[in-house]
Amino acid sequence: MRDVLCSADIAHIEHSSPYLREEMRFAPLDAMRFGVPSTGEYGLFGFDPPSPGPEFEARAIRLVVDPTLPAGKVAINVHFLRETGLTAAVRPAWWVKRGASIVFLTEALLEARLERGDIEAQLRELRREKLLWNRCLLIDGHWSTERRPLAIGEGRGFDLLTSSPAIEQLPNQTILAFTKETKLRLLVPHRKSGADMVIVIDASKSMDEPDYVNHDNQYRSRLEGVRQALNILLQSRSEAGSRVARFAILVFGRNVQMFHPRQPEMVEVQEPQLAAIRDRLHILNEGGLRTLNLDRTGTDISAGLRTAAALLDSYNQTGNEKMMILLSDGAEWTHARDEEAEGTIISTSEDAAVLAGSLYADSHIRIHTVGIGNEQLVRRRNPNMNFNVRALLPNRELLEKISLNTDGIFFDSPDAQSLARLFDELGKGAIYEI
Amino acid sequence: MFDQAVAAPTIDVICDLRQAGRDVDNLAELQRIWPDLARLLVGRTAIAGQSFSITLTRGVLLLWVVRVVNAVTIDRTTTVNIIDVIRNPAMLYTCIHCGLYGPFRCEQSTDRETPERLCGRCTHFIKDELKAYCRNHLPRCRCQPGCRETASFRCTRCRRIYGTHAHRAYPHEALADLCQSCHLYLFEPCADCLFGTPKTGKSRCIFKLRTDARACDRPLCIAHSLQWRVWGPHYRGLTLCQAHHRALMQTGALDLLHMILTAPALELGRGRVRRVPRPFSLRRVVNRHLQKPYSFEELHRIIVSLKPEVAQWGRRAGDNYQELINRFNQALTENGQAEARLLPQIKAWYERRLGRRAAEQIQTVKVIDCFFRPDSPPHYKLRAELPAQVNRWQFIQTGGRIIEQLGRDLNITLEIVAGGGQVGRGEPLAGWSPSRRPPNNGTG
Repeated sequence: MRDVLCSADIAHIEHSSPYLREEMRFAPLDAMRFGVPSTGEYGLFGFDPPSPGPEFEARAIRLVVDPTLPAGKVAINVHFLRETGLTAAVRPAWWVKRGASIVFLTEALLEARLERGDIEAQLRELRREKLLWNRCLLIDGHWSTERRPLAIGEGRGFDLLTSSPAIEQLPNQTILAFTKETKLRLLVPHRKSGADMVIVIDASKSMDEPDYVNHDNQYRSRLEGVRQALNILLQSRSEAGSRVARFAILVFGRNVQMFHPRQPEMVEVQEPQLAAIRDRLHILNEGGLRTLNLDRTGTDISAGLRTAAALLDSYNQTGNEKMMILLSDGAEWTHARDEEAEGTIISTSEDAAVLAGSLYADSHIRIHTVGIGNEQLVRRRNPNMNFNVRALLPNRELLEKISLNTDGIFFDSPDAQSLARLFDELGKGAIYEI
Repeated sequence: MFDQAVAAPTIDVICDLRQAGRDVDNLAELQRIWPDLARLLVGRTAIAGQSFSITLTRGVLLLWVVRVVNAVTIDRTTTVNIIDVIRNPAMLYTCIHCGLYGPFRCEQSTDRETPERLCGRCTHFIKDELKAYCRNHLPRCRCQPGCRETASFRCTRCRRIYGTHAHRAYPHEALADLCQSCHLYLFEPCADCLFGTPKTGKSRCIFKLRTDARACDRPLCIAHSLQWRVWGPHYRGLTLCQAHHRALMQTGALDLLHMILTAPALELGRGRVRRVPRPFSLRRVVNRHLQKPYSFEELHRIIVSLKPEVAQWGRRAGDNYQELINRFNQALTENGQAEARLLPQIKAWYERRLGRRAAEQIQTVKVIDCFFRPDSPPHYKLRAELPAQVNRWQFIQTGGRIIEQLGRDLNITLEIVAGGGQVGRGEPLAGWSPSRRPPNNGTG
């Protein structure tokens, strides 16, 4: 591409599209003339803003080759033009040049800008239309530290909350590009949408295994990790504020017991209740769990999910999302082969993954799973794997399958930092993987 | 001495005409009736801050005394100043039924020029809604066509209006109201929970024969529901109740296919769905419940024979059917290609191990099954038929030593059968199949 291409070189037309994309389309001949590669390229789009203000403004733009376009004119996305204020009436002058540096995002957490309507419809649209593929953003010094706007047209759009690599560490005027590989997640804050939540905690014996790395790089038990994570979640939830939503925490081993509230019910969470739950977290230990009459000699994930589902089915409020967060190190579960299982009939609760799928299909319950435990560490500490040690290995596969079957998210978080980040996000709102 | 002037006796009054029974709405009218009223005041005692009433032919007039100057008893010389008049308001809107003040307007009234006005007592409301209805336009309950009951609430879930008879309380939520059918949908008890408090039956049995008008639809809780795993081992299947679990074993292939094609699609997460199983998986699913298993080609023929019926199963089933047919056609093409590719490889392998003569005995191979594994090529199960006089043992050898080695080398499972599929005492021969199963790399 030539270093600078401007409106004096070639005229532009509006390219109609249902959504905003920072896109300038070139006919193949023009692309050759201006050196735009056939795979597309990112650049800086500068223009004189029609309204009084700075001398010129810049945006990130993607240059695309479009074989259907006649030569002699470039086509710019109509919503993009409207957003910049460059309508046909103002006879805009613009230029395009190479960006300073381009960073491809591997992860991005977005928040929908408007009050939620139907979250499922919004998710479907995001997934079907692939609205964010090949989108780009220019890091602007005027951005607030928490929100970076990403419009999709018609006044709708998202705010980019966090990303990997982190925006704070990138220099000004860097182009951020979303690709097919960018792992996108959507956050719907609790203040916008109610989510009735049941936290299901695995408190079996294997959770005493000290393979959880604390903030101070100290090894602590998995249960200690759960305790810290819950503390962060409750703290974030209390800070973020939320619509009225119901909440319950239950613990399971071979059986299931209520942790909060003590009766099998879900309660509305306000600030005083959150403080009370935080105070009660200290009993998540050997002695405390004994007072709850929890049998810790096994891990019956299905029982935990079943009880949580019964609570959600009975106490869910109209319009609120049903959500479970399963914190576990997995259980004894093997991936069966298709040919052995195909066509067989099993009880719904026989396989935790099947149960989860059934809960999603019948009750619309999303299950986010958090894998607690560090397999490498367990193996390193116990080179002679015997039966007892094998039982301590976390089963990521099952947890991953449960989240996949329920359109939830699996978090493999063996360390405090990632667990804190996840629970901070979950405390602020409901998260969906796109 | 100064002569002190004595003020004339005067009283200031407010004239309350609200119960006077006559409509006095201008000064001339008041002046016209006043001489008659004034006569009735003579002899009355006027005390500031008190009132006195005068009985008229059609009502009562009240006079509120505001100020009194030199007069306690009113006589002919007393000047009466009317400083204000209290009248009934002019009613612009009157209720069409009782004539009282009508602040509400009927929602259904079509005459916008002269809208029907209603008072609070003659208005019908839907709970928690700012819509008024008159007696002539009472909203009807939508529980079923022809229900004559007046609607009184709106269902929180389906947003339709219903009469009190259809009202069901939303458990643990006082402000929400549900209609009968939404309550049933959300909280119908499990039909199989016979002891204790029944759990909510969120799953429903999908069993339905082609001749049935509708599916079993029995509500089942998690403990009492069964999953027929048609999508794979770790996905939810098609829900069945206990009775239809047993009935499935006696169900024919056509009905099994009907249930699979009309079932809701499997959601795989992230917006992806699977509408029909893979052809080979479908064959294994169907064959598991049949006395006599079908070959791939036989099953294809059965599916094709369903075509005239599919139009009656609905659009979704029609789309699923078309997708299944396309997948079968593709699989049949791929089978032919796999057979053509693998036959020379098998012959070459046996030629290396047993010599050319033995290898030439294998004339054809046929794909009888296929297993799909993530990140690896499909694993075919093939059947080779030998001429009747040829001893198949040499191709297998003790414990399947040779045939298993062949399977490992070519990533296949081979079955060797004698000519005509008959051996020994004339029993049908399923063929020798190695005990080793295909490699387990995950689901297909």
